[in-house]
Amino acid sequence: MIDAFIGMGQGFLIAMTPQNLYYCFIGCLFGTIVGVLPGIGPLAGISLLLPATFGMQPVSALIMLAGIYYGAMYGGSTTSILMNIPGEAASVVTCIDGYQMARKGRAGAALFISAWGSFIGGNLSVLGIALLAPALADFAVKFGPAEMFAIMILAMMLVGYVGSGSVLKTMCMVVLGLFLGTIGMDIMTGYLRMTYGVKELADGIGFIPVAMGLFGIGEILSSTQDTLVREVLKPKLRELLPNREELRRSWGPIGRGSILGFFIGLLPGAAHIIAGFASYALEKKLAVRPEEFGTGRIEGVAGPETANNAATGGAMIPFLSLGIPSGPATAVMMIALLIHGIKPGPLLIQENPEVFWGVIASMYIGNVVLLILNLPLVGIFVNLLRIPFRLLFPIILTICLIGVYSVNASPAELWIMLISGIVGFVLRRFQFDVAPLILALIIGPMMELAFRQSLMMSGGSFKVFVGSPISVTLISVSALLLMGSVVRPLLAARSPKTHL
Amino acid sequence: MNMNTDRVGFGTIFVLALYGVVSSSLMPMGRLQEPGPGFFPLALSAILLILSGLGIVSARPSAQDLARSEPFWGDMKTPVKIVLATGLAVLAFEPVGFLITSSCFLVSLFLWVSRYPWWKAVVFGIAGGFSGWFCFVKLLGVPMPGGFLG
Amino acid sequence: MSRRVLLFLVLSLVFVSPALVRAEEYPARPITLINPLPPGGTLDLQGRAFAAVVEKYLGKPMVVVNKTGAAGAVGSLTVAQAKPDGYTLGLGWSAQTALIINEIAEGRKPSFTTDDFIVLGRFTDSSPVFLVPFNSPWKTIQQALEDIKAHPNTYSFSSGGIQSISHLPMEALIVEMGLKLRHVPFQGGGPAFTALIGGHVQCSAQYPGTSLPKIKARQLRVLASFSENRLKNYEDVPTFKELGYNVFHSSWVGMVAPKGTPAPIVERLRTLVKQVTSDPAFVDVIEKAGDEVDYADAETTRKAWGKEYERLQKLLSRMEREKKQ
Repeated sequence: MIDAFIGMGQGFLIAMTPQNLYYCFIGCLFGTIVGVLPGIGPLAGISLLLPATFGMQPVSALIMLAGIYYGAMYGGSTTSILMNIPGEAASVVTCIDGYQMARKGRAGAALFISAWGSFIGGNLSVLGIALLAPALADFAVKFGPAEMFAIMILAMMLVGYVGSGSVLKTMCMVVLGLFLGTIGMDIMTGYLRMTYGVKELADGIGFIPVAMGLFGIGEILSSTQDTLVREVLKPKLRELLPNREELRRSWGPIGRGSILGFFIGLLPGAAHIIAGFASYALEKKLAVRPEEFGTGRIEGVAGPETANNAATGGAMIPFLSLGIPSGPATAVMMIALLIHGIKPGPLLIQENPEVFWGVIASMYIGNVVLLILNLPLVGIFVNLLRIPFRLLFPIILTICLIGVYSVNASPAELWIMLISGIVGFVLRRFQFDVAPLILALIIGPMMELAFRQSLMMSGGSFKVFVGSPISVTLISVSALLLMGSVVRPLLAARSPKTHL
Repeated sequence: MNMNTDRVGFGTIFVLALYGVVSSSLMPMGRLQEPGPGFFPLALSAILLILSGLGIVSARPSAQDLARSEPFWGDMKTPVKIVLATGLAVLAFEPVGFLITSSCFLVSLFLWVSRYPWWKAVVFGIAGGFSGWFCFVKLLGVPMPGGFLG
Repeated sequence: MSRRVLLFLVLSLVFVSPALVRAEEYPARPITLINPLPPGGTLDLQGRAFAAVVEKYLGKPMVVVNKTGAAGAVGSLTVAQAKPDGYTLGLGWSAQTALIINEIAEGRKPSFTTDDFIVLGRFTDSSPVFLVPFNSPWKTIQQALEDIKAHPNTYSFSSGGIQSISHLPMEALIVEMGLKLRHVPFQGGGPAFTALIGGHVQCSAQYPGTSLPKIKARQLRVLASFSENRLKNYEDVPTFKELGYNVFHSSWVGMVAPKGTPAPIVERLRTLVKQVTSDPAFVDVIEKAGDEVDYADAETTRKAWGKEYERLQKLLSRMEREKKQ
């Protein structure tokens, strides 16, 4: 413990040199821009700046790159709240209540709580890393394919909670999303599934085109149908900030989100996108009036946003302590270290303590920088909303086109986006939830991979899925959740007023 | 069985699930120790079939259905216009180039959907196209098709 | 009203004209280097190390973009179909040919062939090593092989993907020794390592660059190497060959351009590969990571590619026959 404090102290000294502060700021700024711009994600941002770090000190390089990583997390929530367009997978959940809050004129509050929650979540996770890194490092390694499959099943149950309204409808969306995730080239055999010769589909239906379509275009099509005139609320400064009631209700979700997000972030693979909707599900479960979720409850923003940033911190642990990347972004950071001659791995803390602690300290500083960056931006962003909707929505559509095209320069993806938009419109009309569909779309391939890997490992025996304490626990929890969500509506259906 | 919105919704999903079952059963299933590409999609579409089937059977008219006096879809003029405009923009994106396409796209939306006076539509549209080009292509270096302008 | 239109047209021409005036000297923009394999692996490391040094020689940066899918088929196809203007290049590696061979074996027309690429040069040619988790009961390679033989279909190995550079060497071993070892593919070297470290699989064949840190950190142990001669940095690790097993595998990593790229640009790029691979910055990175730079020019690489095609074809057809038994 003392070592940790000494280390942190050393880390802060390093992280707070003017040079490193500068790099941290650049990274966070770049990351925020990257996060706000729909389409371009942290991986692209990190790849772009990686060559620029070549002449830098390893610590500085990693500080800047890590800044991009969590800057993007902050930025992604902005578009979710303002335009109902998720900047990346982790921000999908924020769209649900965040955008509704914006519609009600509470965009400022949502953005503020989002930044504030991210700050706290990020900091608590940094603290967690500093204190618990050695103990927790092994945690990630215990998760093999069977455990990952169990997590994915649990994730699907949680996604079910994200939906409002009928359980059956949400479950249909989830399974449909999983199914759509199988379109494309099968990773294991190279077999093309349902692509009908469209080569862009070989990689599967991409998240970006579908997200922009389902959420962005779908929402625009729906809302322009009724009226193009939206009440433009001119918020006073006081209204930009959350009111006392909102603040009071946010503490719980923020606290819970931090812990939940931190531990989920430890999981290997891109499991940390689950953090957002795990937190949403938790808050919904704990809330007094859960049916209000989806109409603009601040808990639906505070919890997930905190959890996302805490997960980002948690995801750095396997990377820093074990040298195991937990996703593409950390994989590239690992390469960055290798390029600078630093070997990531358990010896990092011994051989290059200045890198280890320097990065951790810079994460704390990065959080502060991002908070300072984002808070004034709240005012600017909210003012963007004052632009009349009939002027704004074509601009949003154009940005969607740019965003999707910028990823792969593929007109086919533009079509996918448009079709998803139409689908999103239809779904809204029929009152089916959109968020579970896209979350399942992302989780689907991971789930299938883990499933097949497990069977390959065990030689075809299904016992592998209950082989370890971790997987047994996870599957039991999932089963309980499933029974809960099936049984409750059945009981409620007995009363004549409700409909399934 | 009378029609209501939920039934139609579930019915569509049922049809999709049928398609899923059919096309995935055509794929190789593999063996248990090496599941093939058809395994997972088949399982999923089967589950979807059951779920949507349940949905069709248990769907009841919602309060909105009963209260609805106008046709279900509501006024489709605006969404259709937007979809058409966007479709044209996508078609034109690469051959015509980003700058011209986005400007025209914006102008047409401003004119025909937002109902701005023609000169406002043109000014906003071209301004929007140029600022988009400037911000994304010049400043950020995002590669966008040049079309006629190279 | 028509005067306004005229004014507007004139103004727009004024704005537009600069775009019409272009003088292009290669490279006028950043170059994209496509890595068809997931980030964090051997290819990624070498590609990014290469890209980081390029600006010194070309004046414009090179950016690595991962385009993953189907063991590298998606990214390779992207490169093959890219506009041959020298602004989109790709990483080439030995197992790429395996993708082609496999398509043909399955009776499908491969979506790309080696003829779709112009070889620019080779960075490295390395052989993998046989790794086990640190507290594995296997202390020597002979022990491991005997144990695997004695318990068919009990043990498994991880790889970075089907037909990947970490899959094929193990298959070479399996086919040569008649082993029954289960294959568990992952998405890239990173997860494959994680599975090995966590003990979810019992062995894996990975490359010296990415393996060395984990060996030094006592997460993994190395029992043998697939090379002709003992590897630098792995001097006390026996090769399969010297122990009497006829097992050898090597994978090269290099750079390719789409067919049709103009000759002067190709020349420029070929020189670039030579320059960068002898640049101390690049060499330093590769060697610090435990690997060795082994530059070969386009001719040699292309020939080696052809030879490898034959070798892999033999291996893959043996694998097919074994599977059917």
